[in-house]
Amino acid sequence: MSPRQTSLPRTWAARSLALVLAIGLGFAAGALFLQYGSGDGLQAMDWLRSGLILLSTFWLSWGACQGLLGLFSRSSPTVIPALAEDVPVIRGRTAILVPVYNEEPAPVLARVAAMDASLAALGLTEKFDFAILSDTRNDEIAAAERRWFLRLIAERGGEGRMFYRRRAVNTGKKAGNIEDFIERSGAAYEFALILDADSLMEGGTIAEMVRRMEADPKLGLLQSLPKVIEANSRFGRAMQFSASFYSPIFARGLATLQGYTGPFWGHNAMVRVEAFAQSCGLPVLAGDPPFGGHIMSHDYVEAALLARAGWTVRVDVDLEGSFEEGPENIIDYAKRDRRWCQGNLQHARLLMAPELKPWSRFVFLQGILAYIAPLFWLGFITASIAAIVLAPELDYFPTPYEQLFPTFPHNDTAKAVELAIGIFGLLLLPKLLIAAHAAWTGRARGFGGGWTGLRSTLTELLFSSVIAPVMLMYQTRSVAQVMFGLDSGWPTNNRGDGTLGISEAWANSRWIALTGLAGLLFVWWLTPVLVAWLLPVGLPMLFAPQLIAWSSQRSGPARTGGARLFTVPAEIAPSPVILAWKHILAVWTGTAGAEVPTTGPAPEPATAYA
Amino acid sequence: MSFEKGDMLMQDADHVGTTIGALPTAPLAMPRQVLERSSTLWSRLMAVFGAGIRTRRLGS
Repeated sequence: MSPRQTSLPRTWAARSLALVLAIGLGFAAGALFLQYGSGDGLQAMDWLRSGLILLSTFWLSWGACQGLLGLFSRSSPTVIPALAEDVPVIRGRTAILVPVYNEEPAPVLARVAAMDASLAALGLTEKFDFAILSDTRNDEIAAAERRWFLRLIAERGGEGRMFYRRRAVNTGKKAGNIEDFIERSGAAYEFALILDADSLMEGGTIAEMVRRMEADPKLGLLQSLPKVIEANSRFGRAMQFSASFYSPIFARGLATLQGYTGPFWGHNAMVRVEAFAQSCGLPVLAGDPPFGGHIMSHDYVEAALLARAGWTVRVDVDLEGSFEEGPENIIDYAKRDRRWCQGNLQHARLLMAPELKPWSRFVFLQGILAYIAPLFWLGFITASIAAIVLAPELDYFPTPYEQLFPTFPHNDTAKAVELAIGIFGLLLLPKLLIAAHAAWTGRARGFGGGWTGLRSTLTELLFSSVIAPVMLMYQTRSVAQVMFGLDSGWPTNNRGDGTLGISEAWANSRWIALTGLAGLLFVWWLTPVLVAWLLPVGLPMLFAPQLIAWSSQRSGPARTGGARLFTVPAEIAPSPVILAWKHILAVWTGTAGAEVPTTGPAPEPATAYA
Repeated sequence: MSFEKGDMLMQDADHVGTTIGALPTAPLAMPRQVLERSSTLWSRLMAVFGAGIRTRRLGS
């Protein structure tokens, strides 16, 4: 019996509605622009710009539809069928997998300790093993990992249920790391909870996920919606607010659209090991990176493969107690985005993979569009500048021997204004509706109240609008690099304090500032009147280093004594596992060194992988 | 280099790397999935596209 009886007709109705609406709005915007552009006669540039507006509006509308569906779809929690009284709540064994790659070990292993303590409070530790799967390449960090791991097992009594292994060769990166574990030890477990190094989950949430997996034998993967925590910078806190405030609504919309062909975001998700093993052995694509080689964004592909094999893949947005950390500054965000960009564009190879569900193909396409679509705006701006250069001379007497009075071009400025209002509406409306919905339902209390929620929403809208041109430039560079065959490799994620000085910000963004300056000067030389229209894009580019440095600084406390801007529920009422993690980490780092073993006597051969 | 603490053992193994604690030996095969068929028009197009990209990267 399936826990969430999402009917197929309902899913298809939601998909059709969203698609028809997005395509319809795209065509309407394109047609409006054509009418506006036809004032002085239609040129090739008008057609091009109309096409770009069509595509951009479609993409914006599609995103807005997800938000609106999330707001208006059923908000009742997932109904889980009750298990029989005499059946233990959890029967199967679960491996909690913590892949690490050059991470600072103490915070990672303190999270493991906190999760273990959370499970222990429920009396469930015997059903769960932890496996720290290290792909760390730095020997010093690896040595520290081993020391902290020994401390972890000593303090948590983890012998026999906590394991550490470091691969000699990190073939296949994270996907290869997980695969290696399953190929060697997978048959010992019914389920595997796949985490990231910065993942943190409540024991109760983990247990509930197992329960849902056990209640639905067709469920191959259950994804939770991790909330971003521990952000300190202005940028990080804006992202944290966004992830806590908007994402659950957008994710609910997504859940309505996807039906049983849900997402896998690579972590904070539980898989049925047998299903995963049968379905998710990833091939190495022919050719070199970035389009060939190992599959980078493996999670989307694994979700598609599970669905292809007939397993249900689901995101349950009602699961609380699932956390992760996010980048603290724009540079780190752009670095991560560069990797994701390459992974998503690589999916172009897989669009026509045999026997995939149509929705899986569409998900690949969406992932590609997520990086291509911003380029449509850049193309539109460029084409608009080119249109001025290429515009024909105005001819007031097109038939000089037949007309007495001049023919003036149509003034269709009103249509341009309508179009601009429509596009801004698509950008702003879903978020404003989410703020109104939060105030109406009382959800805003977790965000400091209705007023603070609205203030945070408006500030986030302003902030995201200001940094949008900078993000657009980073995305454009990422796409260009991939298209020109540059591989991003596998850079380590920076975690913790990400404060940047102006010189560091300048070093990472001077090309944006100089491009902005050159663009504005060029347009001023071409036609000064257009400069004012380009300032919303040009100024953030020009001041990109300042923006990046400023937004990476630690966010201050509330000035008026009220709730702090970008307050999130995890700050007002932190989950017990977060408090436990902080406590353990404070104790560990306060006493680090004295009891941490360094070397020891010669070992007996380990039995692992014997 | 290896060390021991209590019953927890660590070693460097050629094929795995370093392990601490005996992970269950319970192999489970993960058969490679077919994601591309070499004979389709799409895969040929992508191969041509990829070759073009690599050529540009080499600057030729």
